Amino acid sequence: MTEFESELAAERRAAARLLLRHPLVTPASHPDEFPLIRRHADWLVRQFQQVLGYRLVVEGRFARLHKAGLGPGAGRRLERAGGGAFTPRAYAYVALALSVLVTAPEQLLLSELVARTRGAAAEAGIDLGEPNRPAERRAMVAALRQLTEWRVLREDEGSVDRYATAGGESEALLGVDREIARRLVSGPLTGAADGAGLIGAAADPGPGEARRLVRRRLVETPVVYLDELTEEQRAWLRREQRAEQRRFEEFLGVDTEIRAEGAALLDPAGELTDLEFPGPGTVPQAALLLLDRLLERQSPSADGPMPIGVPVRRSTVEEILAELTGEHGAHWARAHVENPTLLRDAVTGLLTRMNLLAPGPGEDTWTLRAAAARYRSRTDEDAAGPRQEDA
Amino acid sequence: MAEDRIDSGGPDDGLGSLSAYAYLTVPDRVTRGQYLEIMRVFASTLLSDLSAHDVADRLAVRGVELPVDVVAQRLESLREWGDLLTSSRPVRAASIREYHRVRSRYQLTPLGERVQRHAEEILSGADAAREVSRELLGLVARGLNELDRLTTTPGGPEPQEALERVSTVFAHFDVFAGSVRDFYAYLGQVIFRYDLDGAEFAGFKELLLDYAETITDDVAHFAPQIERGLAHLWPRLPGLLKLIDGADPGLAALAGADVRVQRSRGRDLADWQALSSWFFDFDGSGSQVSRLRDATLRALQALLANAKRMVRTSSGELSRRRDLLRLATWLDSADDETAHDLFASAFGMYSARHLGLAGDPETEVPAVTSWWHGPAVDVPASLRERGSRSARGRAARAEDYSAQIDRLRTAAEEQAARERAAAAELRAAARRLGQARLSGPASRLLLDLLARCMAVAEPGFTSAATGDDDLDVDVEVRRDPGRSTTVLTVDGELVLDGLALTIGSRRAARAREAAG
Repeated sequence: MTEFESELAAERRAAARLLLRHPLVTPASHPDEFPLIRRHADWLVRQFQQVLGYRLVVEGRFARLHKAGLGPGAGRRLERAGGGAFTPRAYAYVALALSVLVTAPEQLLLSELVARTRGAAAEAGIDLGEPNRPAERRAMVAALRQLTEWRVLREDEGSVDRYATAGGESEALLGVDREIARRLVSGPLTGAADGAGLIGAAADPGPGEARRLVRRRLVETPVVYLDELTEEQRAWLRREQRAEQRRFEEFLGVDTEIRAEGAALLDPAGELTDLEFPGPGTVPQAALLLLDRLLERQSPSADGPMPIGVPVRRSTVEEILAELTGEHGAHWARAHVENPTLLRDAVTGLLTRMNLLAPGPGEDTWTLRAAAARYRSRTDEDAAGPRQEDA
Repeated sequence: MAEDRIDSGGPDDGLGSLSAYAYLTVPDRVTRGQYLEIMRVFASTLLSDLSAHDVADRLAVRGVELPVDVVAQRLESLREWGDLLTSSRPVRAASIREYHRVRSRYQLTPLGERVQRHAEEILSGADAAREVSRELLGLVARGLNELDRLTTTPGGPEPQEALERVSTVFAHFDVFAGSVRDFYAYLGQVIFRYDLDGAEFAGFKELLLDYAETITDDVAHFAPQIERGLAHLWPRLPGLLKLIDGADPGLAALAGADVRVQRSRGRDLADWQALSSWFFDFDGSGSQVSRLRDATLRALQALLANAKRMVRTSSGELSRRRDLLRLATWLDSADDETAHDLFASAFGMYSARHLGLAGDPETEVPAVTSWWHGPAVDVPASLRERGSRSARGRAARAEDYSAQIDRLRTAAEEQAARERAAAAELRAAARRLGQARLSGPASRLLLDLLARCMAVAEPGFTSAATGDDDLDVDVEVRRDPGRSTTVLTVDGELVLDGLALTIGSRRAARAREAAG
């Protein structure tokens, strides 16, 4: 490959990775990378369609990668600026505000937007209760702030946060980007009969496209375990895994780790992810140490069948976390030290979203999943294993 | 009586005449309607005066029932605003009652007449697209040519015929200019709307692409003829206008009697100036014609923007809005987890997510290895022990670049050796410049040195020199008119005209300098 060709390939990889990381890219949000996307738009559109069945739209002012749904229990959620997940009401405000913004004029006042959104709620039959309650206001602000981040709204004067506090300086002037507003919705809304129908239809790759589903899982989720795939999908993966490895290396610059229990894409640069694990901070460190201890106690032995998951009692998890708090609590965040339930939920939540832990079976067990073992502490036995030693 | 004299104009500040519009903007609709009907009554008469009774009678004929004292009130208000004035026709009354009736007679002022006429125009045809009378432009051009011909006939023009022609030209032109203004005003109002649907859009497309283009084409076509006509006519215009005035003074005589007079169009030089500035730009602010072109362009651009918008939103806003409202309902009534899933399904605005710390790419691991006992990754100790930030990404072995370094070093050495050989060849060829044929590297070195030499030379130099210390080669160029230096190379001949070239050793040159 000539130098020019490899530069070209590097640019395309960078563009593709950016889009997977941020499905909506504008010149304002990524001034350096947006031109790359424009330059390679044709190639990117073809690749995303062929490899993942995603539709990519690149226009003068934005690039939008329409991703499919991930099915129920996918664990993807919006987070509010101050921490904490979006509530159903906050999500509803997002949809209601969008219904106003798709036909809004170039600019409007914050108060106008709020009024019209409430009007839309009435039209949709949603009972907002007392709309000026602090909780309602915060939900509305969370929705508007998210829309601002997505560049649907532009804060021309003042800020949407002003709406959170009743009274006082609570007006702002907002610019509206109708084009982006219209492009935000991605799933098959029109044909869906209800919520469950939408979730199912959005994740459906189409007839005979088993590979698309597996590829999407590989690209979007940390680990794909064989027990989550159908017979057909498993067979396809086994057959094609080396080819897929090369394809992803070329397309996205990622490694594919193939093991007996499943496969995982890994980014050497550590950039292609919204959650970082292992990572800095109280919760990730606690999670890492929890895994260490669990693996010490409960790894399946070297001879005998290798299960994809190993059951772990909840009480065991809580014990270990208590031990760890004792040992490391000195430099952990106070909130997590003082509230064991908070720590437990945060740690198990993180590990679940990274596909290393799963709830169940039953009320009082978790399942420790195979990929967790890649993070175990390296003992002498490990060092002498199949890995080559440095000089 | 003194105040019954005809008013020769509005009050001094000039804006007072606008009060004539007052009756059209009275807040109460019923009253406004009454004023309108009364003004219509007056407008349908010519040079007659009416009393309140007369007006009430005529209103009754039109189907409007109003008591006489109300009519009287209305008439008084209209008088105050300047639309009517009390008549000064002397009438001899036969009785006291008739005297009262006669006293309060009113007639229409010119201002009131104009305001009412405009009001009727607006009421009747406000939102219509007015056709542009393009054919009149040709008549204007022809009229100007005729005038030109008239003024050049021996014996001078016939005043009457000249007057007719002038009036015709201006009549045509006024109608044309007015219709163009109206058309573009209408167009401006509709073209910048962003909510055109398919049928309206198609209509405007035709209107604009076909019609507006034609107008600008016609204007562009006739403008040169009109320009020529005006240019010919211009020097003779003052004489022509005086001639016409002499033969048919019209109202010119009144100008002396402190009466403001508006002359027929075309009898004043200012009118002609207005006509030519419609077509040609005199003072830099652009002619009407160029403004027309700009306006058409702007309208086309707006149309194009509309077209783009329509193509893009083919699914239509209404259905999108409905979908969003349904989605909002589902979201609001879902539990937390389902709401997250719904959101991800409807918007797809999530990031790819992957575990950190890729494995060592150098190690080959068979696909059937289990994670439980396969190689573990090297987690930086700082993350385990302190939960603190360290370098991201893979913990790989230190890279060994020694082979690459050796390769680069060898290549550099070879390159340096080649350059030294070229310099040596150049020095050797110094004495036999016209005969020795320089190799590729040597000739390139020479050209490079020559370029550097010229770059440091002052303009008009007599001699300039440069060299390379590492390669030990010196090049001097001296101006020597009549002399011409030829250098032979494998790529061709280099001829330096009027210059003498000397190549030597840099060290030797420095030694010579040092020795003085």
